[in-house]
Amino acid sequence: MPPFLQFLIRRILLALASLMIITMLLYAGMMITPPEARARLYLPPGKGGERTTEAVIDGYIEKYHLDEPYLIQYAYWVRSLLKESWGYSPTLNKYVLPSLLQRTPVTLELALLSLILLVPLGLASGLISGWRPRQAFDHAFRSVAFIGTSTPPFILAMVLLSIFYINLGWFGPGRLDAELIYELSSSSFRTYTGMLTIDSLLNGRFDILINALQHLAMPVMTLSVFHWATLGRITRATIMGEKNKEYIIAAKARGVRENRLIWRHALRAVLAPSLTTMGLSAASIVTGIFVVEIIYNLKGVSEVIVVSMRSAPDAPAALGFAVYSVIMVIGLMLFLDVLQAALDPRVREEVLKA
Amino acid sequence: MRIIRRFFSYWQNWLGVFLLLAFVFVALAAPILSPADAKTTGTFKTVGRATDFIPHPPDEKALLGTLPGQVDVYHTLIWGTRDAMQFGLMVAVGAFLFGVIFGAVSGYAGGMLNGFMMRLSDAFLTFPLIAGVAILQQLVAITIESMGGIFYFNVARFGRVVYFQFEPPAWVNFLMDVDPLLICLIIFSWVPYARLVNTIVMTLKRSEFIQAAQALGGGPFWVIRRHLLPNSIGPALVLAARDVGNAVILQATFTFIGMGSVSSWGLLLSMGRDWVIGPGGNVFQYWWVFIPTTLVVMLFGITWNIIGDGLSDAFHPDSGKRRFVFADIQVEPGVVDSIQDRRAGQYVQPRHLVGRPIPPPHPETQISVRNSIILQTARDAVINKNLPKALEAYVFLIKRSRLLDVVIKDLTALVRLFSTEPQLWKTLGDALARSGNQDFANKAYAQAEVVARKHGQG
Repeated sequence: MPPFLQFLIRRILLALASLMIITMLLYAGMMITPPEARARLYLPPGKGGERTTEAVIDGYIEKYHLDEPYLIQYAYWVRSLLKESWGYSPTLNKYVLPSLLQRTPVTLELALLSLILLVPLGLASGLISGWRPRQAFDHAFRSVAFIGTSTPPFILAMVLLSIFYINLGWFGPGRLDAELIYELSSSSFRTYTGMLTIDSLLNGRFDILINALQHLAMPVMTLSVFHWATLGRITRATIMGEKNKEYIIAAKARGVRENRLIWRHALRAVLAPSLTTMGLSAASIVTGIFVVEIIYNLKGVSEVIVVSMRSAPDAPAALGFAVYSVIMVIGLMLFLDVLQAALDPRVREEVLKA
Repeated sequence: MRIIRRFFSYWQNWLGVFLLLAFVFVALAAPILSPADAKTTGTFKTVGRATDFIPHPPDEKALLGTLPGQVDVYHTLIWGTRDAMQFGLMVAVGAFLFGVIFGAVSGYAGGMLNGFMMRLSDAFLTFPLIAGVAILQQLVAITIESMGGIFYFNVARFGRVVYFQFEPPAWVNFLMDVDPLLICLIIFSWVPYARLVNTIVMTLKRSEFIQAAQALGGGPFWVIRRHLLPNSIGPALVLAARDVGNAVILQATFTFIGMGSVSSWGLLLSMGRDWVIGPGGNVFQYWWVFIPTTLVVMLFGITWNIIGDGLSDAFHPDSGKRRFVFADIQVEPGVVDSIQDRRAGQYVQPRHLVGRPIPPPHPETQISVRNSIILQTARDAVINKNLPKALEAYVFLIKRSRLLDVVIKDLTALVRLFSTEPQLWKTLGDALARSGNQDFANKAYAQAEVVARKHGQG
């Protein structure tokens, strides 16, 4: 088996193992509630009173073994996750899994655009400023990064909204202008991926593409600034340690041009630590995505919990959201790890050795 | 002691400590700075008609203007400091205690148990905070509902509201008081502490003094408490300082997006939001609605970050920032062969010489070699009985005014061995003069002349 495939299989198994541990912890958290409360996770659609009578609740306690030991309950819960649609949410008026899946493309689009923007920019600015510390660019980068890391995203969002939306009117919240939303449901617009930027290109509708980008600009900016600054700082610190290593000196002595030295030799060396740190903060990146979605009223996955907290308690939505977002975080970690392994053979070897 | 001294050798840290003390002062003196009156609810004070929904600019009644509903911004900022400080410290202390103990125990246990405990803590890293908050809120809500209560999530500035038609059991009352965000922040921020302490304990465990403590009959908990915890608390403090600021900013964020938790500062921003980002809103016209609160929230985060960074530099001195150099920096033998001095060529005046005229730079100070390497060269030369070379290196250090106390110690030891070398006495005199010890320097110069005369005669 080629080593990369071996690495991939191992890494995916590891991801599944952590998914199992975290769902076990999650269900252990559910165990602090009484069985009657847990039965609400499985209630069918229906009007308030009739679906929560004692007889119905007792039926669900019986069916999902909610008064038995933890491990048995956990097993039944996992089975219901795999086979059913994660419970019915009274506030959304829908089953949880389909509503999560339906909203995923919005979140994915935001995440992808931000990652595409912030990873290269963060690496590049960190490299340039770390290569020549205490020069003009370094000073500029460090001041901007300081502001970037110390501005809370929601405050940055308010500033951006007041400038670009209220006063200039260039960008806006939401996904699209109101008049274009109707065109999405018309028969001439076919949905392929659910991501507006890609779908509009496939449909040849450049007005929708431009409008969607105008609506994505502020969320992407808000999301990118903080993580760009963090990534840049880490890269800067790494390159400053790496710059005096012998292989760089040797490459210099061989007459490798400076540009090539930075963008080929040094870049590869700083990739691993930078991406590792990003992987460790994957959960906070995902939280950041959801917060930005809520602030800018992008109806992504986070809409599920926003709606679920408006009126009556809605445990299935929150639990489904929790499981789903854990899957997203683990997916992001997996993606970053595979990316790292594809670029840096040392990482592959380390995992195979362990 | 050395760490505290190192901490205060950066001007940024002085700023951080000053800001922190200012925040602490405001938090403690809140009742004096902005007394509560009959119209105060919680941290909010109404200074006019509560039905007046136009924010008014600062005047003598409300020092920083009012929000819609005539809520006084100044009053809430002052009292919010108290809340924020409490919340941040509670999160940091909770995460610190749990993480440090978890990491120390699992590191000390080692083997399979350590692997299992660390896997468990890794799992927490894959859980986004927002999902934790949502699920905990819902858990509390469905528990209360299944007890027969009625639950509302977000009611204006009061957060959640619960009604019971009968007297609920005590633990339900407790559930209603718990801030879900506080719990979640503790649950999801202890992992870095545990990992850090775990690494330190694993390394320390193999060291001789721990083995000695075990050999002397120390039980595991005694060894952890007496030796391992004190050695790993320093680096963990760095994380704790940063956590205080981050927790408060996250609390404001979650309040702003309406995910429970009641942060006064976050509520201020969300109450005034329509005048900033609503139609017709304008940051410049209604600045008091947005800018004071923003500045305070950001400053709070920055303060704790500066202190965290400062502590981090104090614990890991080689992180490459320029700082004032004290004359009494010790040289650990291990760092001699580390990388070249980044500060090379820049003359940093030692603290005890500040204010005196800066001596003209010696031409050789342009060479970028670490001072500790020069010192090592000098000591090597002494071992090889090559006194002129050693003296050359010491003179170099004296001219740079670096490591003066080590140099003086070395030279004092050397003059006992080679008491007939006038050059040595003269160098010792130079070193003493450089360190500001003119009396002893004169004695050394006198001795140099005495020795020179004797040597010349003999």
